[in-house]
Amino acid sequence: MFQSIDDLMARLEEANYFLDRDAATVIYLAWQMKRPLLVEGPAGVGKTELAKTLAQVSQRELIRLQCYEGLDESKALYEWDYQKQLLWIQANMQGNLDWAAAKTAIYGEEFLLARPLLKALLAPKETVLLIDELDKSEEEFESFLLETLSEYQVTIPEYGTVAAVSIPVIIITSNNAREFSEALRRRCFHLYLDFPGPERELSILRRKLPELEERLGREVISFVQLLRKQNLKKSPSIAETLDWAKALVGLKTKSLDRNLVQNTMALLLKYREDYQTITKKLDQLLVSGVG
Amino acid sequence: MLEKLVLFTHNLRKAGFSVSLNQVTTAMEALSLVDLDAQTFKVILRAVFAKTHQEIQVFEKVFSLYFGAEPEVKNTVEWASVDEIGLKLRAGGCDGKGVGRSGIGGSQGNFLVSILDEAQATALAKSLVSSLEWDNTCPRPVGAYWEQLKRDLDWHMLKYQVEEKLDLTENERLFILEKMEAFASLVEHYLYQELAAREGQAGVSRILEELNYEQQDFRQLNEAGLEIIEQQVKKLGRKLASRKGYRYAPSTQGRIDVKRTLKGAVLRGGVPAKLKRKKRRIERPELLVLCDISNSMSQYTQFLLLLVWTLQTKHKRIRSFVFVDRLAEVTHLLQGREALEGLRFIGIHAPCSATGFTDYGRVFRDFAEGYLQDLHGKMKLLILGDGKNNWRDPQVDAFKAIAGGVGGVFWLNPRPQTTWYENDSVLGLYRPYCKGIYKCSNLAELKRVSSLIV
Repeated sequence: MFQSIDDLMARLEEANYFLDRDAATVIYLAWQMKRPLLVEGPAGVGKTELAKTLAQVSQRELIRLQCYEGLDESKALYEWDYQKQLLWIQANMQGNLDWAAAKTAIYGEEFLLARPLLKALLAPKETVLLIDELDKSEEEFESFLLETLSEYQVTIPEYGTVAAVSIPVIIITSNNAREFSEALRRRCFHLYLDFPGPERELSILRRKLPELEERLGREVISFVQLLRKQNLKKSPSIAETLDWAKALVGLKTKSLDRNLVQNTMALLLKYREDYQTITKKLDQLLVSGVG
Repeated sequence: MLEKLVLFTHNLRKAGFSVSLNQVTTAMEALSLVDLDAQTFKVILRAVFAKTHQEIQVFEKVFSLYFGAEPEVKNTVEWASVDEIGLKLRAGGCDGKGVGRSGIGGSQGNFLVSILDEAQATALAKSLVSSLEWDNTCPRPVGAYWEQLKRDLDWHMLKYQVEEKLDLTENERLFILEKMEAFASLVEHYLYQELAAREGQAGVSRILEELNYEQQDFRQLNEAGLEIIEQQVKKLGRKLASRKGYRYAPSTQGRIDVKRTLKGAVLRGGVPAKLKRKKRRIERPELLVLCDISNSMSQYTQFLLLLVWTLQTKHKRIRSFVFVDRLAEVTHLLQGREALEGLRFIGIHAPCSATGFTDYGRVFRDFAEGYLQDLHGKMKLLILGDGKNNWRDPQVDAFKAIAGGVGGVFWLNPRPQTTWYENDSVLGLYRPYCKGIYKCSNLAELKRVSSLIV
């Protein structure tokens, strides 16, 4: 699929996703060796976007499993179509159906509802399977994943073991809220994505917002990078920085000033406490950022 | 290559990593798939062996110790003019008295200027380490050497000046702090190299043991270790707070709710076409936490309170108390505050010490008098303390009454087990009324104990 690490970087860049070489190396190897990739990092650095972009550039279907508290295998792996099974039994009640035949029939493939994990394994073509925010699910759910992650198969007690038709590229993202079990972590390649440095973030802005002037771009990035170093509840994400820059371009801004920043800062800071903290320090931050 | 890699994984294991054989073969396979340079080599091993952000930080140190590579310098604050900062620092350091307006001495100003430059910083770090006096007869902890250097450099004062006093822009301030951090890791790197050269394998083992933060006594953690452990404790708290009750652990869904299933069946001609299930409840323990915050215990208490704080942010049925020789409730001080701010508040606002010497008897008597009526059988009482009562009256009856009022008393003691019942310790008298007494002086023990209790 990807010829080399450079090829992977170049193709992601074409799709407007910028990575450093270290991260690209890990992704390339996970891809080549068909190992699950566990991506961690602060919210808003582009973990989910990475999976989406990989699917896009490799022209594979993206199957997404969004994790949340209470997620279980019936929503992630498979479920028996209970209503359909009942219908089948009622429809065949008149005939002389023996128990063994009925059991084989109602636990057949026809009655199996494939959820994202099974869907990814059964897909005829290779897919990208995104298991998003796994840290939000519970500990037990991790155990269900282990078989899929290491063997690329699922065991269904009534049916047997279903092996993958095609091996998907599995990308697991986490916001680091909870620690995963050793067993899960051992099976994955680990990638920690941090916020990009100033130069790389500036090139992202330039690529996505060509009309942004160089000077304003640098001021925006300086300010946002300083914000990320403050003790905030939530640091501004790359997408939020882009939104802010778009708003500034829309307002025909040439250069940042205090009032403008104060009035538009809500696009970057989403907590009242953060907003108040930064308002107090704004003069100091602007001198540094703009200066 | 394989032999080197296997030896490297031995080092990682000593530093607390869990490395399987499968991971070693994965690493070998990965190394054969790409053109290798020094950085790619490290990145591959890091991706295979280090599985969390915290582990990455330790991995970097073990890697540079084993392969001799200098630590990676990250420049996240850019576009700061080094010349301009240099001028400011030198100006802050010269007023004819050797101390500038900011309080920074001329030599300190020069020192800061020199660590801004990578080559100069490296040379300085090397010369500092080589100037150390090494005690070969009685090996000191590695951290102690760095602490000594910090004292010589007046490091903490310097940091304070940069953070608070010097007339710098925010960008410049962050730039200097980042350079100071980079310099600290350089010094640490050369310290490790020097120690490994002097003491051989024994020195390397000592370094690796100190890097195994999870097994290290809370009181012996260095700055980096403290930061890592703080993060880990918060994670542990979140994990425990959202854990499902053990009772239905094997089932992923709740039990079938017969009432709701039958109700639904009425709509479908009596056929229970859709099974309704009860939700599995998250077990919310009612905890009472009593922490000794006398001097000898404060470091341990900090971590237990941090765990309590994290649990408290998820649910409210936890009451926390601190004591030395008086009892003070601090539940309200922790609520609605960030962890560290809450802990600082406790230090200032909790009226729990009159003499400075721990008095368990008085504390338990006060607790029994004030809170006995609030206790019930579903509560668990968690006590963190070393049981040393300074030869005062232990008031065993009060403790017995408290223990009878709750579902169980669990005592956490950070001291070595052999000293639990020595000298002025009254733990032996309280022991019959406790459900469990556990040693709890590092993260590994805290993890084990908290998953048993919470």
